[in-house]
Parts: sequence; C-alpha cells; structure tokens
Amino acid sequence: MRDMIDKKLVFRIAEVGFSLSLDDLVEIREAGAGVLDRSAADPEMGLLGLISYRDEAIHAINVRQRLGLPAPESFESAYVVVNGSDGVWALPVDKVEGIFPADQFRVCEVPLLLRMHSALPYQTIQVWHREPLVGFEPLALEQVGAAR
Amino acid sequence: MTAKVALLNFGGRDYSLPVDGIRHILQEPELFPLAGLCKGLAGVFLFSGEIVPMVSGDILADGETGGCGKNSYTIVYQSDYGSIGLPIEAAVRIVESQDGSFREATAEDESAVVSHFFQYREHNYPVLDIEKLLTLLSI
Repeated sequence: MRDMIDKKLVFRIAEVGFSLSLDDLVEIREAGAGVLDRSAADPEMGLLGLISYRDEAIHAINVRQRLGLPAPESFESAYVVVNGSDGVWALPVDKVEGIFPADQFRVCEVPLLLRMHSALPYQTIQVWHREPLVGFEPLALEQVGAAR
Repeated sequence: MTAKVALLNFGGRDYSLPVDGIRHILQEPELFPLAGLCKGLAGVFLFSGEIVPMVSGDILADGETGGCGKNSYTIVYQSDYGSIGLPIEAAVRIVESQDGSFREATAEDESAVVSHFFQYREHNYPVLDIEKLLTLLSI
C-alpha cells in the first residue's frame, strides 16, 4: 500500500504541468462524448457540469478559470477525480503523463517573487525531470472558488 | 554606487545594471509556464536547481508593447526578494563605474523602470531600477 502512496500523478492543463499526490487521487476517467452533463453547469461558480461516479453525480470544476489559464483549443482528454473537503470532484485535463515514484520529484517552496504579487492556490513547486510542476492541492483549489 | 557596470541592450534600447547583483548570464534558458503568475512574469526557469521567475519582455520595454526584440540571453539577477531573470538582447560590455558618472533621472527622463543614468563616453545608459521593476509586476 505504501508503494502506491509514494507515487505522484503528472498531468497538464494549457501546457502547465501539475503533480498530484496519490493520496488525493481517486481515479482517472477518459473524457468523451456524453461523459459531462452540461445541464448543471454554473459558469459563475466555475462548475462545468456533472459526471457520473459510482452511481452518483459529481461536479466537474473549471480549474482553468480558477487558475487563470487559457481556454482549451480542443477537448480535454481526461477527468481527474480528486478528494475534496466535502466529497470527490473532477477536473478536466489536457494530458495525463502518468504515475511516477515520489523520489523523482524534488519539492521546492514557491519563490517569494511569485507569492508576493498574487495569492497562489498552491504552496509547492515540484521539479520533475528538470521541469517545474505545480503541486496540485484540491483543497486549496476549492478555496479559490469559495472566495469568488 | 557600484564598482562595475554592465552595459546591455534590450529591444534595441540601451540599459545599464550594477554588476554587483548579476549572478550569471545564461543563453536562452528553457522557460516553463506556471499557473497564477502575475502578468509581468513570463514563466520560470531553473538555475542551479533554483526556480527563478522570468520578467516579461514587455515590462522592460517600458510600457511599449511589442517593444521587445529577440532576447538571446537572460541575466540572473539577485534582488532583495530573490533571484529574477531579465531577458536581454546582448550584453555589450562591462566597464568600471569610475570611467563614467551617475546622475539622477529628471522628470523629463520619466520612466517606470529607471531612476538613474550612467553617463559613459558621451552616451547615457538608463540604469535599470530592479526595485521599481518588481513593483511593476503587480500592476
């Protein structure tokens, strides 16, 4: 079990790389026609709609909007389902790179110059194969939405 | 003010910078985007294992959008708030500050990123004011 936890998922949204601890990952769903029910979308709240998850419907959250990233040029490839404060929720991503051992990541503090000008919804940058990735934190992302 | 001064070129404009704060000059470091950056930053790059924010070329163009040309080099500069990357077109040369003189910028020289000029061989090089530049990042 410990071996599973000591790994991280790497995914990309709008060319920005993210890493997610497997503690926070529930599952990865392939995106496709009919997966997202847009009838429950609420753009002001950053909600894209609902996707089905084990006999229930969960929110798909517009993480791009909350992080100030550009709109997708094409459809996202997958939904990453994560543990939130009040149940699970999903975020659409452009690309899933895979799951990698935690020892491939070097956890760094966010430089002061990045933090002093904007309230960032993440506290770490994780260097993976010489690429800085945003340490994705589902609970922090929820707070960005709550602050709106 | 400083023992040596670097004379630089950015977007066809001359600038100068005290050498004291220059840690390194890199040739086109790989730039990575991050989420939630303020608009004055173009991304980050890695330098000696450190994550360094890169200033956007438009900020150095002093408000002239599109004023930045091809930036072949990046200065890694040590500010009071950590290292920062400054994109430049060319590092022309490094000179002794005693071979020129500094003067304060006047209202006529008004610039968002310059507070002094370095006069060297009958040419005025605006001294890039890093603290002013960092203030601009949040606007």
